[in-house]
This record gives sequence, structure tokens and C-alpha cells, in this order.
Amino acid sequence: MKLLMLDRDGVINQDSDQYIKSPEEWKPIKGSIEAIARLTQSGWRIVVATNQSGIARGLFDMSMLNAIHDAMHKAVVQAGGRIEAVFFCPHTADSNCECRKPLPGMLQEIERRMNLSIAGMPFVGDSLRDLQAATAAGARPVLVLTGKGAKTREAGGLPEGTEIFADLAAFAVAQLSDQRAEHRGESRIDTRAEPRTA
Amino acid sequence: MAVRVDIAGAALDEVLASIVADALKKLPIPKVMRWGDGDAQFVRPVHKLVMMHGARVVPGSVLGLEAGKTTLGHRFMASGDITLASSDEYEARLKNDGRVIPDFAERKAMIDQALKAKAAEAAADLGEYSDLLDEVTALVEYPAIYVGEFEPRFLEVPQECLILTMRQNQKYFPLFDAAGKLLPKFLIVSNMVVADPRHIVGGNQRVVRPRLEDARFFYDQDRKSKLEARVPRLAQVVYHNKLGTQLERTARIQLLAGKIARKLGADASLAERAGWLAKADLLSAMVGEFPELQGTMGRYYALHDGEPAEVADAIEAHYRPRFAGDRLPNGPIAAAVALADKLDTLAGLFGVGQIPTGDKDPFGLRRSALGVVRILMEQKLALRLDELTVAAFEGYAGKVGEANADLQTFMYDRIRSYFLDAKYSANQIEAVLSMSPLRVDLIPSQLEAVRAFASMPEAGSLAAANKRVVNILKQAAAKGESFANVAEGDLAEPAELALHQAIRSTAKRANEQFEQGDYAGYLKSFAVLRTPVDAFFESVMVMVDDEKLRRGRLALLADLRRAMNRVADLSKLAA
Repeated sequence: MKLLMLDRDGVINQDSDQYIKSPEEWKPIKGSIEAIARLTQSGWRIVVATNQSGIARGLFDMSMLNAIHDAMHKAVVQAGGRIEAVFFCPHTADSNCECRKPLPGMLQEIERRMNLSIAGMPFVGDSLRDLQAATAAGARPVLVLTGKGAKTREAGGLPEGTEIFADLAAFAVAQLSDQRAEHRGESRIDTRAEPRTA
Repeated sequence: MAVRVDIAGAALDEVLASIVADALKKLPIPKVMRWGDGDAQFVRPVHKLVMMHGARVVPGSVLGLEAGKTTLGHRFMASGDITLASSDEYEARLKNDGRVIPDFAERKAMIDQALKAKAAEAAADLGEYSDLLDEVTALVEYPAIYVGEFEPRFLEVPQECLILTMRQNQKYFPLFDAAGKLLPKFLIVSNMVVADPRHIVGGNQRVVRPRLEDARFFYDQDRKSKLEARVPRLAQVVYHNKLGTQLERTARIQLLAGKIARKLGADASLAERAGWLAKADLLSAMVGEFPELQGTMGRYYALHDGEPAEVADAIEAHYRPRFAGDRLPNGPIAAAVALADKLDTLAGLFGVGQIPTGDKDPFGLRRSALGVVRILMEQKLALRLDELTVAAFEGYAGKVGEANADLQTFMYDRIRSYFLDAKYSANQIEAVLSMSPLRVDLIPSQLEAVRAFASMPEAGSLAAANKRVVNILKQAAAKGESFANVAEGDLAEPAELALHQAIRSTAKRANEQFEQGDYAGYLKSFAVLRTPVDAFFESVMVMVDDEKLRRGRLALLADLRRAMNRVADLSKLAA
């Protein structure tokens, strides 16, 4: 089974320095919703892991965050996809929590909650702290150039092995064609040529 | 989620929660998750627990939730939390306020009806969609159907590929014209009813497009190399660790298909060509992506390569029948390759001891054997079962063990269940199969003849007489009696002379009918023996002391059995 972890702002939706404070401000990045739908339909389980310090700052409350996520879920569902869970850290950087990226706490929480290992599973983000969290948790760091991604690449110092894609759509295309290549590379086993049991 | 259980009396409050928890534990869930602050685990987060008995909440806690009377509906369409006044309201409130149809059958019927209506609006047909309907019913809470379209240019790709990717990957219902040709349209079952479905339709259309592009890409790529060029690479594909590679298998199938075609008087070179190319599409990109298209793609690619139509058809049809009720390969070339494929599988796996037991049949050998039986029988192929299985074992040239007898028994077991399914009685089937008929194609008419015979008034008495004869001969043989052909001079009593005469006069005509394949006529002609047989047993003692008389009478009875039992062992019909 494949698990895909996604940062939210700058990966799924357009980021804003003023924070995303309402469903109206939540605008998907072109192709990201379809990418999630395609990956869902190819058997990926998809979760979101996002820092939302706007809560601690009092910029919006939990019910507003839920409304924003409802908008996201709705957009994904309409395209035929599914986000299984949204993990978020509501704290600010100086609160010393363990969940705020670049710490791996939130990703480890995904392992605990979903009851699976995220070792080698991709975490797609647009900022260095996403990549650092991925590396610290043993996941695959993946950078997209949407949101802050281009600046992140420019700044350098990316963790070793970071994969870079133009956007989530490009990442999805690459995963699906890899999957296919993997499929073909497998040595065909005995039952392969037999009609499948109904 | 709510559960209503009726259990009498006060015990309800004490046991309900644990019953519910146990029931949930028994669900076959591959992977559970945790949510919220608790440590409860389920396939998805559980938000509410409703346990009610009438208007009363049955107290208790399941998955970390306290029972209450409030539940939630559809994520986007519900009109708020649903607080139940009574458990009786559950279904209706969930449906009307929650926009969730809790009953699977109702949801399924609702989708089915809506699909049919939308298809009718588009003057289109849905094809066969029952499996997908079940699957989709399990995915939605309150279904809404929308029509999507794709660019007609994709229709250049074989429609099987497009249908499969739509159904399997996207859970869409493709639409067809009256002739069964795919239309560039499909139905989407969404979990959302919206006034303006443009978003949903647009989103789905954008998602399916790359899928269709993929299919088109594979199709274009695959046609760049010929099937025959792929065959050598089958050497790198393991068929079974004890049975070698797919290339070795291909060579065996080729040889066996040729032999079978020759026996059928068909062009063996066509069968051999088809056998040689039959597995080549396993190495194509399309079949790599969609294994279900094995054979189907082989046919398209063979036609593209300029192979003869019979070869292309045989490549597709050699997997048939793939399931109960599936079509059979058409024509002798396709039948030869299909038989060769199945017989090779059977001989190989029996030869390495992989004989199905109980429920375990990982290689689908029962299906393969039944396939052989159906092809021989329903296509009326004049082939001998023993020659086929022996030829299949010969293909392995001693590399696998000899298991011909086991395989034959296995085949007769399939024949038995085939006819039990066709509502023949076990006795009738046994009567025919106990003769180990080698020509499977003749079994249906033999069985039909036995059934017709069994319905005649004389049948009971003749069957009983047959059984009696079997017992007498068995006992005599056990005592070391020998009895060759009867001579008239050995007989004395009028009843035995009469029976001898009757057998002689009846058998001549009956044998002619037998040779002509008129099994019903053959069996019916023995009806006239009922009276002389009955008279014989009434007035003649077989095991008398006089050796000459005794041997004569035993020989007479052996004659009777030989004459009557060429189609079936009629003694098996005796109650």
C-alpha cells in the first residue's frame, strides 16, 4: 500500500503570507485536485500534514479551519479523489511543540494514527521545513516548485535525496508511470498467464 | 453509525455494547486507524454512536464513544446533526435529513434506476455492469448520476481498453450504442447532488483523460513491434518454477495445438502459428497495465501484424471459457489452441503433484478441466480424452511425473458436476460415466438416451435385472466360474431359449443403431426384453449343479449385459 503525505498551502492550494483564513481564500493550484484524484484512483492513500499557526495566533478558529478543509475535501471529492485525513499543528514556532514541522512529530503521528510505516513514503512540500520533517521521519522528501517551492530550491541546503517536481500534477504523473514501470519489471509469476479467478 | 438489536428484557443494557463491539471486530478490515484523543481503532474515524431501544438510549460505550441519540449525515449535504426521537426513525431521518441511504439494497436500486434513466436519455446501453454497480454502491451515501464525455478520437483505441480503464480505475459506467460499440460518453456516480454539476463533470473528465491517453500510448507503442518478435522474450518469464518458462510452455502448446487440429481435420499450421503467438501479448505494455486484456490485445496486435484471421481469433479465444457461462472458442483452430493451453496446464501441474484439494485450487485447474469438457462436448469435437491427456503429458517429455490416471479421474469428476448442474440424476450420470467413455462429445446424447430409457415403463424391471445379473456374474467369477459365449445347445429351458432368441434378434438391430449414434433408439430397443428377462428369472435357476447348464446360463446373462450396456451401465439405474 502506498501512502502519500502532502503539505497543504503551496502544494494543494495557493499560499498566502496573510494566511488562508476562510474557505473563500482557499484556491487550489491548477492540476492539484486532479492529481489527488488520479493518485486516489490508482490506490494511493492520501493525507495532509500542515502547520496552521494561524490558530494559535487567533487569526481563525477551529470551526473556520474545518470549513476551509471542507472546501478542500469537497473539491477533491468532486474530482473523484479522497483525502483520508488532515493532520495539522496549531502551534507557533516558539511554543516548543513536537508537531510543528520541521520536527517529525506530525508525520510520526500519521504512522501511529494510520497504523502503518511511512518509511520511504513521499512527503510533498514546498518549504525546507517540510523536507526536513520528511527526512527526520524517514519519509521521502519531495519538493514542488509551487508556493514557496522555487525560493526553497534557490536557497539551497535541501536534504540529501530530495526529489523536485514542478507541481503536484507532475509528481502524480511521475508516480503513475513509475508504478507502471515497476509493474512491468516484475517477473511474471506462474498464475499470470492464467485467467483470473472471478 | 447505529445498530438496532432486539434482545428481550433487562439484559440489553448490559450486553449491547459488547455485542456491537464484537460485531465490529469481526469485520474484515485490512487496516485500521486511530483518530481524536482516544485509542479506538476502526477503518475510518467514528464520530457518533447511536444505540436505542425505542425512544430510550441504551447506555454503553463502543470505540471510545458513549451511546446517544444523535448522529451525523452526509458530510456536505446533511442538514445538521440528527437527533432521533426513536430508533424507528433511524432509516427515514438518515435519508431525509442526513442524505445518507443506509440500506445497501435501496441505494443499489436507486443507482441502478438512475443509471438506466440517464442511459435511456442518451439513447445508450450500459453493457454488463452488475459487478461495478455493487462496488459503486459501497462507495456512495447518496448517489447522483452525471454524464461525462471524452474526446471521440480515443475511440481509435480498442474499446476493451477504454472500457476497462473507465470501469476499473475510474468506476465510471461506459455507454454503448445498440450494436455494443463504445460511445464517447460515460456515467459518473457521484456522492454529491448539486444543482450545477459542471464542476463534478469537468473534474472527472479531466481525470479520465490522462487514463485514456495512457491507453492510447500503450496501444501505439505496442504496435511498433510484432507479436512474433516478442515470443523469444517469453524465455525470461517464469511460468512455474517446476514447469519452466512461458517460452517452453508456448512451444508445448504450439505442438499440442497442431496435433489436435490435425485430428480435427483442420489446418494444423494455423493452429501452430496461433499457439506460438498465444502468449506474446503478455509482454505488451497494454497487458502489463491491464492483465485482464490478455488475449484480447493479442488478437488486435495479430491482426495489425497481418496474421490470418483464424490465428488472431484463436489467440483471443484460447483463454475461453474463462468463467462459468463464458463463450467458447469458435471453430477448430481456436478450439485446438484453447484445448492445448488447458491440457498443458493440467498435465504440467498434475505432473508436479499440484492436484487441487478441497477449496484449494490456486491454478484454477477445475476451471481448466471444465473448459476442456465444455469445448469437447458443446463443440462436439470427435476427440478421445485419453489421447488428449496422453499427448499433453508427452509434451513434457518426461520432465514431469506421469499422472494420466489422476487427470482422467479429475476430468470425469468435472463431467459429473457439469451434468449434475444440468439436472441429470446422479444414477443416470453414473450409468454413463462408469463406462469411462473416451469420447466426451458423445456423452450428452448418451445421457439423454439414458434419461429417455429411464422414463420408459420397462426401465425399472430391466435395470433391476441388470443389477441382478451383475451380482450373479460377480459371485460366479469370484468362485472361479468361466463362461464364454453361449451355445444354443447349452440351454434347455424354454424361458432361457426364448431369452437367447430375443437377445439375438434385438441386439442385431440395436447394434446398428448404436453404430449410427442413435443411443436413444439403441436403448429403447431393449424394452422388448423385459418379458423374456422376467420370465427367465421366474422359471430358471442359474447356479445349478449341472456344470454345462450353469455355464450356459452364466454365458447367456453375460451376453445380455454385453448387448444392453454399450451406452451405459444400466444396473446403476436400479434403485
